[in-house]
Amino acid sequence: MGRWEQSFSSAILRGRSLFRRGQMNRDLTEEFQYHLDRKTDELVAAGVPLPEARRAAQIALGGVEQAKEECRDAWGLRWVHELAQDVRYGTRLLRKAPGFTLSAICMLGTAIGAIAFVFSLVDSTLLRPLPFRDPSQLVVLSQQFANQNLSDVPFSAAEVADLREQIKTLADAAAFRHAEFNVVHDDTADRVIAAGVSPNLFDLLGVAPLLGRTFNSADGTREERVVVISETLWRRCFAADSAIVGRQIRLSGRPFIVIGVMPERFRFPLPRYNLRGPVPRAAEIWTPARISPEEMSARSARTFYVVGRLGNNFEVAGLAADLKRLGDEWTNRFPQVYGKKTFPSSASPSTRR
Amino acid sequence: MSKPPDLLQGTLDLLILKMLALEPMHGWAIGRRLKQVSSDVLQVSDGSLYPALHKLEQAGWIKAEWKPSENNRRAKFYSLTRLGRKQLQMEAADWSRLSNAILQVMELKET
Repeated sequence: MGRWEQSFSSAILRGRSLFRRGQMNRDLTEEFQYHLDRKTDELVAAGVPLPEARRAAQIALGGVEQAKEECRDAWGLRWVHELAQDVRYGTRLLRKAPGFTLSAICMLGTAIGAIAFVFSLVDSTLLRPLPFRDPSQLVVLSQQFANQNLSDVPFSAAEVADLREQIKTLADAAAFRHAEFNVVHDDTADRVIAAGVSPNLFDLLGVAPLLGRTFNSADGTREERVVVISETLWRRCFAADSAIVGRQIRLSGRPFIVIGVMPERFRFPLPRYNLRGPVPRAAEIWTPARISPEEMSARSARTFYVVGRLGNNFEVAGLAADLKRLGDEWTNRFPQVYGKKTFPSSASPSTRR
Repeated sequence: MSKPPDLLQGTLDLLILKMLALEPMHGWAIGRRLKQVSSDVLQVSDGSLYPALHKLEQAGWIKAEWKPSENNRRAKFYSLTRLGRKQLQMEAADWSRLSNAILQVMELKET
């Protein structure tokens, strides 16, 4: 049965449970009566007097009305079930469509929002000053694939390198991506939201650590793994150990050296970019993102968002022009990544949706 | 023998799907058959069987039809849908993975 037939028939069923509820209730009563009678017959055959057998059958059903009510509850579940199915279907379609990256005409930069704006949308209840130096200079970058109706697409490591080198309106740009670790402490394990970041992130945001130091450019390349943790994690999992800097901790089974603790007011990435889970939680662990040579050469492996700081005397409009230029250049230089539009339209999510 | 253990969460669905993969049955017969084939170990309480059936029907894994039963009365017969057959395969695979894993743990030698 095709997808469309299937949703058509389920629409009928849905209609049935709304408008033919009376019939369904009568069916339910008959179904239960059948069961009660069989049970009663069985007990009578075993020598139980009829009135007692009837009562026993009802009790075995756990109270007929209550059992019926539980069945009616199940009727309502269809909505939930179908919604879950639709979501699964949508995700599967996206995953299956190779055109997601291939067909896209890259259009950069139109989706730039000043970070203050994003922040006030996401975290307006907190009403506290932005925890970064000169926040009006900060921008968050993502890309749009216009003909796919996709916005907020992250960047690959190669794209980030291009941005840092070639966008002159940006004084600097830092990359960050979602990560998660298990932190074991006091015989329990916490799943903690983390971010893999480029080592210049903290300098770019201009926030000093509470303890220790933040990353330098060598931190991502050395054998020894280092980590900066949040003040909240430091208190929750490490009992605010004053000798935490230099201490080795285990994250998802791997040893890391703690080099610094960020003050509680430092929140980054903004929860909007922590995509997992029903309620976005703030990152509490930062590690230097490790980028393998393979990843560096995979131009369409897009996992990073980018935060940039505008150079002095530059405006967002100038940045947008720069980004547009870079996007055009990418399209020309890597047509196989950005330019190909020749796969069947049925494979693209935007036309099937 | 000790009292039959309560069914693990979720296993009732699997058992019902498996029963109905053999042949269409009404609720009463499902309960009986389960008891028989498991030599009385698996007893599904009447009160939990019917809500489970209705839930499976709503999920589209089984469908129902009124037909004359063996005692010549109208009864609601459930049968597996194609979707249900797929679900059964998945759940059965999960189940054997889980039970194998538990078996391996139980076979560890104490020293």
